[in-house]
Amino acid sequence: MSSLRGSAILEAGVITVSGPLLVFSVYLLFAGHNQPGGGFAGGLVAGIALLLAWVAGGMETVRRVVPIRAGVLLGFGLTLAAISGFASMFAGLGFLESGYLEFSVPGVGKVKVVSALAFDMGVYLVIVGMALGLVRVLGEDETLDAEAAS
Amino acid sequence: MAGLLVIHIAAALAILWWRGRVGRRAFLVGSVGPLAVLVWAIFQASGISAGTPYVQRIGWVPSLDLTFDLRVDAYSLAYLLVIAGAGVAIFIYAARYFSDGSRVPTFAATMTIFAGAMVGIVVSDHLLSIFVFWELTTITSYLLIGYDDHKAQARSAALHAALITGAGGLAMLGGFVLLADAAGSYLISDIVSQPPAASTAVTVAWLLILLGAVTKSAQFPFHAWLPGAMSAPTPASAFLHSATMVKAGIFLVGRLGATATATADWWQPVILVVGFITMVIGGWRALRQTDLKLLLAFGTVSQLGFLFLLIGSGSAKLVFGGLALLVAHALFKAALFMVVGTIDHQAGTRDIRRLSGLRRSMPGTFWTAVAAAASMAAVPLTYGFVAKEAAFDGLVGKETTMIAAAAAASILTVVYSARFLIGAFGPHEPGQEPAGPEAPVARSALLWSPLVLAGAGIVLGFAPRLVLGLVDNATVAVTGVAAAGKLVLWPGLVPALGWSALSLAVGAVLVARPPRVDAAVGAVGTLADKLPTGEGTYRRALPALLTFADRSSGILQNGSLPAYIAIIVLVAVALPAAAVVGDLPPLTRPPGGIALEWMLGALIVGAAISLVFVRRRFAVVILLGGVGYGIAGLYAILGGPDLSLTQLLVETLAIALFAFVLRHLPGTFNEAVTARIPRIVVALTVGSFVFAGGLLANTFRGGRAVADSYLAQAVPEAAGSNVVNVILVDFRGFDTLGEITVLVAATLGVAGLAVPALRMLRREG
Amino acid sequence: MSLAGLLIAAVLFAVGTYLVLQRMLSRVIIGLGLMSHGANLLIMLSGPGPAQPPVIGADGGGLPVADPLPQAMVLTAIVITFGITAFLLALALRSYVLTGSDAVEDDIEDRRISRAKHTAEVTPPLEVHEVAE
Repeated sequence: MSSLRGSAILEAGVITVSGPLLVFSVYLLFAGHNQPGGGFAGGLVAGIALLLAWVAGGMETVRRVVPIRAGVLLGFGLTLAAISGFASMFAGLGFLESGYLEFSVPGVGKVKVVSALAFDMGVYLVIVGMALGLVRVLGEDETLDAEAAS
Repeated sequence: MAGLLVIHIAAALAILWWRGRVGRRAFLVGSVGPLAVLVWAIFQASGISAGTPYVQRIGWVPSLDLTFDLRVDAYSLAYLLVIAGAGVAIFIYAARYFSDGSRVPTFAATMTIFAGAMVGIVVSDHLLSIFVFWELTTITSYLLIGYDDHKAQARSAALHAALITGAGGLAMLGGFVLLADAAGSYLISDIVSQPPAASTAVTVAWLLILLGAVTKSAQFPFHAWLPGAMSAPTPASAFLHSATMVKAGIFLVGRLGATATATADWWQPVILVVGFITMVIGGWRALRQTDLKLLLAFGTVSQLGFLFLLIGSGSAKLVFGGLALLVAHALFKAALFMVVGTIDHQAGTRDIRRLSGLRRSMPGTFWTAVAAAASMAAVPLTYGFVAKEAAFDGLVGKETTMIAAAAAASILTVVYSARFLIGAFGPHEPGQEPAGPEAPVARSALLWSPLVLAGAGIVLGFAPRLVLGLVDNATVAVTGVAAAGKLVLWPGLVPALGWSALSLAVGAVLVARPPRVDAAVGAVGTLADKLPTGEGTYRRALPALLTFADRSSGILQNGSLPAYIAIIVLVAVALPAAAVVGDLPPLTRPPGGIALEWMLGALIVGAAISLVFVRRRFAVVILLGGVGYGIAGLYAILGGPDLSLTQLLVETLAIALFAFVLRHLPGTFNEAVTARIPRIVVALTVGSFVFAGGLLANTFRGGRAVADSYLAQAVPEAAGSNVVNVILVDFRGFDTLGEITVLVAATLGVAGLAVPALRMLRREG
Repeated sequence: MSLAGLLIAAVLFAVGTYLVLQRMLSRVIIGLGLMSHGANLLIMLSGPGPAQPPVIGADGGGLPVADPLPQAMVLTAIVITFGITAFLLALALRSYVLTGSDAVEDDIEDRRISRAKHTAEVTPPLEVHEVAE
């Protein structure tokens, strides 16, 4: 795989693709409540984008695409998911039972915001964090990246 | 009540806390336990004897319906008084007997826990807590017997006791479970008031429980551990032989004897035969010992046989006599063991061939021994006589052979009691180096503790009314009927008196040892020595047991990972299969499936089977991916776009992951697969099991109420129309939270394992 | 449930078991992966067969609506299995680095136990006279 490295065209192409892939992953996350998708699928698509970045430019490119450490994503995601569960409790619902608000935005129409979305975002972040962590730890390549994975 | 158990534990902990400073005074700390029990029992005595048991229930695991049930009725009360009374005397004695040693406090703490466990047995109403306390006495007695752990004798005796009573305890647990299952309750009070109907399970239950009691109370053929147990330091032997441990089995058969007799007609004959054999063997062996302690130990075996058959018989008159004798036995046996301890302590030996002149140098100890031995031999004017009269009186109503056998054992008792006295306090044998006390006994616990107990054996002889109520109420508590037994110093000219007189007379003749009788005893002895003994059997059985353990663990724990996994897998298949085989319903044949399913199936199966044969690692990765993508296709057909998408993405990431890791490993599998055929057989077994299980599950698949309610609630309750996602983030959101927690942990685990591994690889270049 | 699906699951289990029974850690991991594919498929087979997605308001062309509950379970299982596989791979890597081999050898201690001959301490005859403490 490393023979593909160093090709500027490939790297440019991958970065071009991985941007839309990340956008698509966010779309899956938001659409998931009503259409196929959700935090798991969205997070995995983002993981694929990271993998592509690694194939194109190694760890350096991965770091450029997602300049955050894996542990931050994991911790933040897990915390967000847990907090959203407790938030429902404070709203008088059961743990993790979702409530929703409905309001209209001019020009868009009615928009429903479901509290479960926060939970799903937590799931999404954990999955992205896991993919990032695995790629960084296991994909570390001594020939290209001498420095240790962060 | 539960507080009494806590006091024992607290005392033991206190001893251990101050073990550096407490020295032999540890026993005085420990005596707080028995003392508290004694005080409590005396204060509760009148209420409990009046027929209202003291009951306490503490919730333990309420959700599992596990409670800690304590119940003290008159029967338990009798044991409590015996345990606590002997306990206090022995603990105080021990505080003088030991010298300050570094291990003495630990020993005292163990003995305190042992005493507490014994109290626990007699106050528990729940079968399982009886078992727990029962095993606690096994473990603590192991530590007590093996205290002199530098001596092989003590170590092996401790092991012997632990193996026999431990195995018996396990059998008893099985019996308890069966019994409780049949009776519908683990509470003894329930089982006794509503006995289970006779059935095979109940018969087995009684047999197993009997096995537990027989081993614990050192009954034939498991009596051999008890003489060995006298390797324990004397205070522990005194406690173990007189009031505790061996009395546990007697307590149990007494508690359940009446119920067992009512549901199993073999119970009483078996108890009687076992008891009589034990009685005679113990008495006979006691006659031939030269070690005072060993002589007493075999005497205990003999006495236990008598108590076992009386108290376990379930018949009111016998139980009455047995309980009277139980009190007598505790008093004289504890006193005599302490006497031996004192002799050993002062003279440095227990060998009756060497002891000489102790009668003059230790008069207090001598008279104590005389009183206790007289009670043991049931000489008139002692409480031992009163109690034995009651026991004989109960036996007179039964068959003549029974009372004759009891009288024969009593003759032996008379002889070994005399042998004890003459041996300990008479002259030494010619040709032996004489041994006497190095210092006279000070007026200390070494004198007072045995004296008080032996004296009680005389006082109660003149005032048997003091125990009559206790024994009578205890009998009623377990048999339900009053025995109308008598405890009197002079019973009048009844048949029982004749049997007592006969045994005393014959015993006296034998003690006088006219040469002819002596020769006869010798001849019988030579003959009897040819019979197998309990110790001999154990000594032959133990290596066989260990060899069996080696062989079986050699097969089960053979160190081979594939073998372990094969065993686990086969058991996981065999258990459910055994449960359904036999009444298998007719299976519905599922539809074959659409063409696309078969095509994807061919892809998956082809890739999976190739995985077995392919040796190059990267080919393996690609085949694995093929399986995953095929599965994703199947999910799409089955109506799961979310699944299909997730499976595709996961499979892609997994391929990368495998590639990442496998690039560090050798390029091919170079494993020489041995034992291919067994692996294939196991694999095919699992495959067929899954196939059959799937068909079975499909046959029983009914409606899908959960799914329909989720489908109906998704939009109104969670405002989402993708029901799978709604389940994940709302209805079953807690599961998902758990899942992502696992994922975080797995990622951290990967980092923790892989980072140092890769660093090592890099360093090696 | 369809016969095809059931057969696939059974084959996955059989091949998975065969691989798990080997000594190479990487093959064991692959075997576990196959077995979890089989288990997931079995759970999915409890549904009605070819079906439309359990998305309310979707047009399924006359097919029955799939059961959403097994789908949610399997979705969870797929992702968890991925996490576990990653962990096992790291474990295999670590084991390889430490032992220099991918294979799990027999536990030598256990082998020794199975060959051991224990001699018991058997009670010596009870003829002892000991001085008390």
